[in-house]
Amino acid sequence: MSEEGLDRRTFLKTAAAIGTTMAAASTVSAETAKKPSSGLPGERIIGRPGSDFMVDVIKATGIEYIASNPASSFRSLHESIVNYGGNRKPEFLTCMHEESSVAMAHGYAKAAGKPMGVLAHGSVGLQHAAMAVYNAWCDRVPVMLFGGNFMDAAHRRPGVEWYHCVQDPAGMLRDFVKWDDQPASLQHFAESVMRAYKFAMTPPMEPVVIIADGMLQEHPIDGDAELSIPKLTLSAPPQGESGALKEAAKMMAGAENLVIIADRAARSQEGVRRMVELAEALNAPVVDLGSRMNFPTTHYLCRSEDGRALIREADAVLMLEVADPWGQLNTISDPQHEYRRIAKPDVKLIHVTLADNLMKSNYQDAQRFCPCDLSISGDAEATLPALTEAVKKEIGGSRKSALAGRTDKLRSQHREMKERTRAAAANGWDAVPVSTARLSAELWNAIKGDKWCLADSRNLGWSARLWPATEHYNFLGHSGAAGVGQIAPAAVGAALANRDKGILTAVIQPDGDLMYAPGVLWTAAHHKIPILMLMHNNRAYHQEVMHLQKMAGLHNRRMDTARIGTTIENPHIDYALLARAQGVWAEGPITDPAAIAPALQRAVAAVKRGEPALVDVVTQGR
Amino acid sequence: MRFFILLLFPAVVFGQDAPAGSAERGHQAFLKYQCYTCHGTVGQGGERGAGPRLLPNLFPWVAFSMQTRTPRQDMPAYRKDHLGDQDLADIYAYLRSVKPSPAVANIPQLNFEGKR
Repeated sequence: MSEEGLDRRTFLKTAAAIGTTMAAASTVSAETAKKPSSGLPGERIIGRPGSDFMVDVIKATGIEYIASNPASSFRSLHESIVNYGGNRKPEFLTCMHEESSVAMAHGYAKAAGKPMGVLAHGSVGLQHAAMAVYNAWCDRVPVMLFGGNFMDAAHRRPGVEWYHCVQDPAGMLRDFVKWDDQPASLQHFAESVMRAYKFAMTPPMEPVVIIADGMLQEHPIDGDAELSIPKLTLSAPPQGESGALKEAAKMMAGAENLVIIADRAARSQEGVRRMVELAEALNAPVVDLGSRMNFPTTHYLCRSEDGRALIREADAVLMLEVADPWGQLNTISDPQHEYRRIAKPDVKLIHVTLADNLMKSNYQDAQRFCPCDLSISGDAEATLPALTEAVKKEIGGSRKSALAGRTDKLRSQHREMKERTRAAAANGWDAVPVSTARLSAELWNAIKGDKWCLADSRNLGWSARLWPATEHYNFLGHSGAAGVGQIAPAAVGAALANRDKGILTAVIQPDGDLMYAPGVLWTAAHHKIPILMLMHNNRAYHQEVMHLQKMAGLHNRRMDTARIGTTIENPHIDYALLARAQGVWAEGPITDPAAIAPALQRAVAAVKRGEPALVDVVTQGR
Repeated sequence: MRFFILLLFPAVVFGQDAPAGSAERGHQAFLKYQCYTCHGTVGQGGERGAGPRLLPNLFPWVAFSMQTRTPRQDMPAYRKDHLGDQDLADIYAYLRSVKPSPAVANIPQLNFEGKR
């Protein structure tokens, strides 16, 4: 999470601030309660609907935005947000697909360090939202998802409203959310929202769902009701047990070839700093798998590109919140499905993770079971200070000197890794279509003078490999579950969070991903969210082209048909036109590599004016 | 294992010349048979599960053809039924004809030591 994320130093301060907000909102609640008028139905006024109180509750959590495609099951709550709540904290963000709403909240949470709200329609809206919720679940990201629904069948309007109502709305998401509830009263709603927020923000952070019943929204608040909004206090993240940390320190201090692998370890800049402190104490190379920005790419101990070679030689591995530990030590070939061991058979493995706390069984994001020598249940960032202290205590005089003696070699290995990467990037530099390495390098040169954030740093790995990144906000990782369609809306959400921080948000935008729900371009234009989208337009679902080739090879069949059903051509999509049609500054398609830099300069100028901008570049596959 | 045997007998492997081929036809075949999807249109290689770079250090012909026909690791096999010997020779000729890429030192955009 970002520097504003939850850490052990700031969570109490955050909780206190939220508590203050809550008290103010409760006062408003009591003052504005009004009784409905009596008389003819047309004269009836509900001056204080339940949804007003719901807005008070949402405001009390500190949620600043609600992303939503409008719908009747939450029409009262929508109206209360914009009129009663003044459309401010939360502000209603108009989205064109529920999948976009949730993905925006996903990207926002990683940049802001706190959740965005999402409002989704009862049955069909939550169905649309589901894949994006799964992405957020797999990426361990908090999202506050509110669903509309009319539970009381006696009040439902006939026809469509029945299709859009459901007995158990959250049921379709329950396998991949941390918690859900369907409150039966406004007080119940207040308490459940606070509980949901707290659960979502306690590592392992995850999406949560609260159903806002339609009649609860639309009915007047009982003037005599004693409604209150409970105080919200966030939990301190769980830290690894001290005895286990001592044992881990002993194992690592005694190792000759220790490798540290970090995946979702750092939630803040403090986490990055703590990672450096631990790595330097052990003088051990760090492989950053990149689901978060864990370690500065400029540091001599950063060896992310050498991961396989390092693991092969390692006698001990420390994993910090690694999503797929088995996959770091072993592999399965494709397409033959042959098992291969990468690590030594007797490598010692220590894993600090909260994965054991996520007890769901249907969806298979747990990855293959990985035997471990020391498994420590704890939040990686919260555990790092105590682990580093234990390491420092364990490493005495002569051992400390021996470890320090490796520094020159490690610096040299880091330099060589960087030189190899640059040489690889130079290969095909002037190619048409544009090489992916050049695409990444041109983007870096366009934004390097600013504070920058690359909203998806996994889809095109060149950026994580090439760019000098030192700040936690630089790289936001990836979608989590690789559910396509997440990159564009998540980038827009991240750009919204970065807008007021003076951080320029860029994304290398795959064409196939954008076409799932391109309406997010309109959302960015409408809400004046500045973002630089550089199209990685390879005119294909390129991964699938390669899959078809593999299958054809396996079946001893022709390869030249691999583009059938896998490409996005004939006709080519004009992404600049698509963007301009929705109010986004755009140029392209660009096929000449030399034309990218000037186009990006113009695009950055548009972004600095506060607009979204898109530059379409026709690229190599990968 | 086969690859390592090849490395042990460089005189046998590297001493053999490639059959004659047309670079122009090879370029077309390289595109038609989708070699470029993993290796890039000028053999520069790809990332994230795509293929390794083929240039600037192109495999010797025997190793190249063996890897194409009966590949080690994750590459799909291009057997004679669907990629003729002449097509393969043409592809090899194409790859040999590809102009070298500029050196890193001559590409200012790859200087990452500047302002960040």
